[in-house]
Amino acid sequence: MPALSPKKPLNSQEAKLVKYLSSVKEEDIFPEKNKKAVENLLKAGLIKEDQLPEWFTRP
Amino acid sequence: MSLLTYPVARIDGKLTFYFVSENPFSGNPIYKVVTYGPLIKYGVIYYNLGFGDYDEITGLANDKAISNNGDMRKILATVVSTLKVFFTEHPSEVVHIEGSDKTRKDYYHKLINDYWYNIQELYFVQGCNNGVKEVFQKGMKYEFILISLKKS
Repeated sequence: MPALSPKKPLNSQEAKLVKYLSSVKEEDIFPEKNKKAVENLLKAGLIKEDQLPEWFTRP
Repeated sequence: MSLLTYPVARIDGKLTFYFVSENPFSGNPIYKVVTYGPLIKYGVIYYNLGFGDYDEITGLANDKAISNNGDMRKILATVVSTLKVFFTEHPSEVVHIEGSDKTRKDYYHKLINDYWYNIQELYFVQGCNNGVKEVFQKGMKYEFILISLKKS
């Protein structure tokens, strides 16, 4: 498997990154494209307001 | 794929990974983030492969950052290596890949073109334009690329 746990102690920047990544959902890390796609679906009438995913309306 | 890759760390069993791009000349490490998150495209749910740099100033990942550490090929090969983990756990899902700008789109196409014979052994690759999918054709440009596990 290519995914390995870091073997050495984390430096401060890496520790900050790990803390950040641990605290967010996968879809919230690069949300812009997802939001654009949902906006397009909404505009096209393919989904309704009450079908919007929770992450889309989150402030 | 027999490409050189960086070691990858995974976050808490989530579909989130990071690795460090090391420039042997400048010595500046750049933290790269790879995620697989749900995405709706043309009414279909895919897993979007998100990829970008960690911006230490904002404390956020950014898929539009331009960093030139001279190791783009190794970086992209490392990103591709995470597909193996993804498909081990989600063998029936489809991964969506779309560059955030023209340069990245071109690079993703080039990567697939260059390593087509390695990739097509493991994965089924499709290209999509205006909602129409087709088997990935070398040399064609697509709005986005879809990758699924090849059925044996």
